[in-house]
Amino acid sequence: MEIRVALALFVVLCGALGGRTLSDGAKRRAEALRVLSEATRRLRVHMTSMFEPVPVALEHADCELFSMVARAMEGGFSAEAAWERVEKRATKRGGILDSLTQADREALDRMFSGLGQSGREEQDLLLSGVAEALEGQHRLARDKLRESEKLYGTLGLLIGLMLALIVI
Amino acid sequence: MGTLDRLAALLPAEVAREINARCGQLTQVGLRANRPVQLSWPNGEALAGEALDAGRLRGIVSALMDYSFYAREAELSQGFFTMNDGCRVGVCGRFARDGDAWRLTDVGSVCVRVARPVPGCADAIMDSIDAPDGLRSTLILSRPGMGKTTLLRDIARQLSEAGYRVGVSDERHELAACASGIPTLDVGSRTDVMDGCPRTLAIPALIRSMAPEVIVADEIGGEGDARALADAARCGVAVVASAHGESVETALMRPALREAILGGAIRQIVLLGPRPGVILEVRALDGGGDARWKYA
Repeated sequence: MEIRVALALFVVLCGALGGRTLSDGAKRRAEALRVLSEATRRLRVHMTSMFEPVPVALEHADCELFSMVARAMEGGFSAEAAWERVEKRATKRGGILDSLTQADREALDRMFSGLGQSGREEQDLLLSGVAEALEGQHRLARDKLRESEKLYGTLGLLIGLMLALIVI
Repeated sequence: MGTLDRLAALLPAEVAREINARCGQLTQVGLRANRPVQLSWPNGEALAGEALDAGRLRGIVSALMDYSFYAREAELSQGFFTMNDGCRVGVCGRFARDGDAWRLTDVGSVCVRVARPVPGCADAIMDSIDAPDGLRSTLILSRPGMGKTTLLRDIARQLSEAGYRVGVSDERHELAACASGIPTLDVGSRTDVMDGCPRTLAIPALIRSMAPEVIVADEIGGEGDARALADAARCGVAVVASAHGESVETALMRPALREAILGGAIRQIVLLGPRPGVILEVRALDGGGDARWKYA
């Protein structure tokens, strides 16, 4: 009997954890958007206040994706051309941008296609606009994550309980 | 990577070959839309390759600026920007008014002036600057392209290595070619550089904060420059500066230079020409002797 109870408890736990795992993709997306919106704000400071060139500012923004773009600019490529090369790698399964939606990537497309191409005021507007867009996406993603964690967590628990009843 | 190497990488292969073949001699590379590239060196010049496409020229300018137009906006409004190794890139084209500023909207031609330190090029005049009776404030005069900046850089280096505290006002980033405020060209071990700052602010700031014994400044002649030099002289700080002018007489026609020369801030003038790097004349202004001629 004790073994059955232990097994039932194990099944309930697996159900609950399994539910949480299903919301893992939403969690990664929310985290990626948080990192990108913060990095974009730092990029804005390095470019429009410190007037660092694009590749240097991208490195100083302390973001893996931006560093990849900075490295891809070596050899004389524009930010837009470098982004095109990086995006292909980063959106593959397991890549940094794997969890982002099309709307999330549109903000990044907009940023990199105009990065460095105009005066300080225009760059400031571009970067603040993109940072706000990413922050907005992050807030939505965070809310969605909370809902999905509750939903899948509860579903997993219920399924686990059902299976546990069967076991017992 | 130096500016010439970067330029060669951006140009067609046949032009790149010419640049690489003459890289030790080149003084200037001229790029003009729909025209061949012009290469210049001390004793000659030549056109290289086919006509350069306007779109390609724009791409070259963008690449030289590291695709960072905003970071070069202030310089571009004056028609140039300076590379990390001190090479000045003059830009011509269409400018449009934007409030109080002028903005470059289209590029028609570009002139890359090669910065190349020449250690020892100031040897012939160092004794007249670092004289037995003390440092002599000196004005270096010539028309464009005669090597004023190169000479000034070597003077700063030699004075610094002779033990003087040197302050450099490097408004156009060409003397010391600072990267993040740190000189990449040798201007001496006892030298402090104010990079990118207007001379009228840099000179008083250097005097107040860095206790220089001599100030080195390039291309004076603007409003306020004469006052800054006069203030430096009154503070007991010698000045070595350069200015555009074909002769002492033509220099005196420019109000700021006239004020500096006749006001006593300058004790001697060094005239360069007719070829780059040639010291034509050293003329004392303090009545200490006749004009001395040195023709190298």
